[in-house]
Amino acid sequence: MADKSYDVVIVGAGNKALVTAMYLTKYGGLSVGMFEERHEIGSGWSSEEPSPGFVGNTCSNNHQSWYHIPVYWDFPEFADYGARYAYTRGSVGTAFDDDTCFLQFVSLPDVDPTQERTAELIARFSKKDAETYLWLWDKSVNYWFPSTMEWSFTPARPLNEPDAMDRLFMNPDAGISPHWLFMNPVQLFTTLFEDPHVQVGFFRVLQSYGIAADEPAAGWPALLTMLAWVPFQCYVVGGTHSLTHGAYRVIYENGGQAFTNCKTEKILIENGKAKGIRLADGTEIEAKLGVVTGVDPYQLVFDLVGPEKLDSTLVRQVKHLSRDWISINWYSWAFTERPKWKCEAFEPEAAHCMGLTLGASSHLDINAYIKESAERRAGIWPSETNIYICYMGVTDLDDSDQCMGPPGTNFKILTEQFVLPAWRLSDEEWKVKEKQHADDIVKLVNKFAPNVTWDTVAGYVPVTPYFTKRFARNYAPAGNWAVIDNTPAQMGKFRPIPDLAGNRVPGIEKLYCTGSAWHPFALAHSAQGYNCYKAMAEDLGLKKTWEGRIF
Amino acid sequence: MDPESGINPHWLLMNPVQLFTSLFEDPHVQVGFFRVIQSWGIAADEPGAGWPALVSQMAWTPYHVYVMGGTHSLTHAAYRVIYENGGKAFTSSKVDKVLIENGKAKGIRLADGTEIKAKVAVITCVDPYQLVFDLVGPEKIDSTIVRKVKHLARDWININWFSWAWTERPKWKCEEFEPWAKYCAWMCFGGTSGLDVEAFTKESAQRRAGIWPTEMNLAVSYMGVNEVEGFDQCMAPPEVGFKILTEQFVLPAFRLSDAEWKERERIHAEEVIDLTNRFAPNVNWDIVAGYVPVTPNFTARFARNFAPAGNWAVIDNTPSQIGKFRPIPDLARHRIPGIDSLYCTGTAWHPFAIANCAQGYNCYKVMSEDLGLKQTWEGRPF
Repeated sequence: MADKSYDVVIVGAGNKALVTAMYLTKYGGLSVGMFEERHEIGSGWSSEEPSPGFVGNTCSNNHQSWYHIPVYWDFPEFADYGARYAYTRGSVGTAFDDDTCFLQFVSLPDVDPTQERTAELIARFSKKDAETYLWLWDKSVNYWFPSTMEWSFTPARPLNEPDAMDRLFMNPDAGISPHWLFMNPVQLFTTLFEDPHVQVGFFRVLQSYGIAADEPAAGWPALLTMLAWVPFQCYVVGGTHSLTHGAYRVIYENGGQAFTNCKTEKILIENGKAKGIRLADGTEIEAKLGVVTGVDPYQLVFDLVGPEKLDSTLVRQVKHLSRDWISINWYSWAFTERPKWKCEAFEPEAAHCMGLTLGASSHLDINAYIKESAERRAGIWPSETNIYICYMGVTDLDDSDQCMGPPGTNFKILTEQFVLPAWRLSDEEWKVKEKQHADDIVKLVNKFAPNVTWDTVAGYVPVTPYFTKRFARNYAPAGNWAVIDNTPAQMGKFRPIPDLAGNRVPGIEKLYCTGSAWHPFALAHSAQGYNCYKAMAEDLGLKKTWEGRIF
Repeated sequence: MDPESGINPHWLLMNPVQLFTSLFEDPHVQVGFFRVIQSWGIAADEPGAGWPALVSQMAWTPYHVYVMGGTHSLTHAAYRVIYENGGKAFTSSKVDKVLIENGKAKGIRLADGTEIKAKVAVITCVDPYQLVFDLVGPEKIDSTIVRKVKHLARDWININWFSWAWTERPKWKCEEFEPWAKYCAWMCFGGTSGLDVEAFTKESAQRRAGIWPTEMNLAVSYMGVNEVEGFDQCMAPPEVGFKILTEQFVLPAFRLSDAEWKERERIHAEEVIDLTNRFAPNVNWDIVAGYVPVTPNFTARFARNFAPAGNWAVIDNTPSQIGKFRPIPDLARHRIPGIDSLYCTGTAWHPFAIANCAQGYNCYKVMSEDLGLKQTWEGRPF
């Protein structure tokens, strides 16, 4: 006899699960209970106050304006409830050793919708590269971006059925060379661009999406990042957790409920059908129509279901997923004044750039990334700092309320450095690295913005992979914010593995799965949550909001 | 594209570790196929390398042979055909430039200043760098092609390849499990033997970072128990029964100094004997009559094609440098865009690096199309 009963029970209330629950409650008209192990819901859609008066986006900061396209169509109230974005003029840039810089402006309406401003800046280094960029932009706007949206917001199809991305590759008008699909990012960017500023300038931000410089076939995702991610970059007004608040208000209004500090121990399966869950405290929750999980594939297979109930090949594939790569030091800083970049003399708009990269990126040698990848693969702490600095531009405080720092501080800065997986170092070693890294950052930033010294630092909050792996079990054991790597064999209909990508679990009925480790790739967007609802709507005969739309 | 072929599209993006752990459940089987894949220059951790790895397992390994009388027998036979048909080869003749007039190759100039006229065509069999940067000159070629050639990956396939004269054959402990082990032309042990396929990922990571592999992962090649009786391949000092070849993937030549390579040479020989002794206890320094150490530092000097890393594949067999992409799409078809009457072939060309005839044959096919030569393949699939 169950202690409680819902139409649908959801294990985990992370952001993908929240999106599925929004649809199930409002459009499915179902009762939904969510059970979250952490003290808060939303997981990566979080802003936390790790020290008093100092709020940081501990998991996810830079978003793209397309992250929730169909969700805004189906839930106009989502924005009213606080899920709103703002942006700065410059999206991403790189400050070079020669005091020049490269910037990509956002393509949003009042800034650079045609990307001609970006091209003008590129032309200062190479006219030919500026032409190449505009050609790429044209292809992206007309072919790549629309296909990528359709691909993302449509559930993974069976392997031999071409999806929107496959059809894009086959379309000769799309301008995609088949060679690109095998290249690594370094090969692709040195093929496309002739000037080293341009080759390197686009590069550091690719890392932020978890793409490795030296991986064959990672070139195409890298190019998509440059054209379909970066020009759409924005941030959540009020901090990333505003999305969680907005989503939960929708769920709550439609009768759904979430419970925190509720660890799930097992999915109850009878005669090959998911019937509910058992919590760690022994409580059993009945699921009349289905169980959804928002956890990583390991927990799903090894803890919640149990490998003995699944096909052994599927179990083996999950066991061997790669998940050690995307481990970062992600520090939130309160500065008393904004960094005044030397490269503003070359291009004043650098002051308005949301993400500036410097360090190894600055040397104009793209092979610096190969070296850093090689070091990290071999378990060596990167011998050179290579950071992405994120802030909201000169008007940080006026435009948004994202910055909550100690009194007397005006600027909240986020710095990101790719490092080693959490399990590579001991607790003690991480403590030492934490402090060392802060020193490295201030020293490096000072080279590019001489006004930044420890005197302008009011405080900092160090988030290391060691912190991340403890933040939520999904990120363990490496502290991987993407849960599993965004490597080519783990993207799209292959993510996490082909048998699970379509949000169902072979051999177990009424069990659905979603999360960052699912099709199409890891980011804080709504695709996985939306696609999971689509799969469920098909099986359960729920309302299909996408009828008459492409996705 | 052929659904009958059973190829899962996922395989095409997997790395070899992912693919082999997906296909096979037992660690002996997962790992057992693996070391020889390295010998084809395929990296355990490279996405897209899983499929070439599977092909090498099914279409290379089961067809494994050696050349009677030694590999040079192929050269002798080929040159005899050429000579009988009026061709000539000149050694110690370095070429300085391909002579180009009005966008057409007209001949070559040797390092000693001699000019040789080519009435119909010039062919190069050198690596893409020499072709672009030395023989033709980057100013005569499209800048994108030049940039692509400059960035080719060519640091990966560097091996310590030691030839040994032994007085007796290694008697493998595992012959007890399977007596046919003694007839194996390519026995692998070391990192492989731990039954952990991730050992290969670790080794790749170390080599990428410029670290000498912390664990030996050896392939030992010999012709089986009846080597001497059956074949004439073995030419070694008197009283020596067995010629053995050992292969270990190491660092590119330029990573170490000449002095460091000398030292490594010696250490490696000792490590090979120690390790082999663990798997064949009769092997120790007493049965060694001598050895010839070939390191990447040797290979880089053997021919300029292999420089600067000492890469026997000239350029890497990485997925974007295989098939119609090898060395780059613009050169893969043996012609050089913008220059007439110039053809190119070599190990760095389509389809991949191995001592096969495909690149030489394909170069002739392309030339016969342009020059109206006899097409021997008419009525055949290839």
